[in-house]
Amino acid sequence: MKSDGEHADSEAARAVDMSGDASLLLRLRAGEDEAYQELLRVHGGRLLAVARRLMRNEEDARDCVQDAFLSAFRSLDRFEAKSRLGTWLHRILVNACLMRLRARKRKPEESVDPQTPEFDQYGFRSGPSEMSPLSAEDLFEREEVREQLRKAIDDLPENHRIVLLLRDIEELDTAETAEQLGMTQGAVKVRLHRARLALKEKLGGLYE
Amino acid sequence: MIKVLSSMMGRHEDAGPIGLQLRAWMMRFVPGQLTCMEFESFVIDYHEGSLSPRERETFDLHMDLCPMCRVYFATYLRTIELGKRICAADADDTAAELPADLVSAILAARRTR
Repeated sequence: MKSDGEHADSEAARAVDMSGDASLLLRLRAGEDEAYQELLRVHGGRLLAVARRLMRNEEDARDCVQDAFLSAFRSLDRFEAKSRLGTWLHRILVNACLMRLRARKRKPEESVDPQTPEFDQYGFRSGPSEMSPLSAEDLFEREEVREQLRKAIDDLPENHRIVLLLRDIEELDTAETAEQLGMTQGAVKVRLHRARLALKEKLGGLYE
Repeated sequence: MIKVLSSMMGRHEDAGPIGLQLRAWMMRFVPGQLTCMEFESFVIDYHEGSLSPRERETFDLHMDLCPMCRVYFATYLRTIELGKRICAADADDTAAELPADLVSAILAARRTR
């Protein structure tokens, strides 16, 4: 939990960021070329990283970033500065990626079938009652673990991978994810849980 | 009552054979306890913080009594954390800034629209 001092510091930092956003926004609306370059320099790299994660294809990722910035430029007059510029751009980019994913040649919906947890006749679980003492931080130090993680996420069926990325990595909430994907919140939760279980199963050996 | 009994027995690992048997008995036969299968159905809402205080307490109590669910939930959380870490690390490695040709393309497209 943050102390009062830390809270005040983070509020102050946020105020500085917001005022930076406000002055950049004024320059963008005035059509200053340098302001557009600054916007790309400050936010472009992070947005490209998000697009790469979602699209898994460099060319598509670059196209999405371009679409997102052009869409943002067209909408600058409508941006109300209630949120940060970075947050707003992130939202536009996620939309651009999802639109492009939908436009990709449609494949039948895939599902993941993680091993169902085993329960006895009374509904009680059988399974390990101990786990490796290594923390996530310890595990993450190992290159082979990082490789295994990348592969495990990449191997998830697209519809599960996208829900996992939107919820756990991009940190959209369930309602936002449901809205972006045109699903009910209940369906998002089911798909997210199955995606996490599938990932957990693929990483199972790490936890023993 | 259940909570008091459970806390009197201390940590599961230190409960001893009689304590373990008592916990297993409580899980099966004391009314109001979750089964592991019911626990499973609460996992995502617990993680999202959308359970009621009463449901949350029941979930926590089951986790306290059941070492298998405790390990299951710990590995569930660890999986989420590892996923976050790898995505954050890869983003830091690969995207310090936009490639210059992409910047030029975006700025040129802006001017022509």
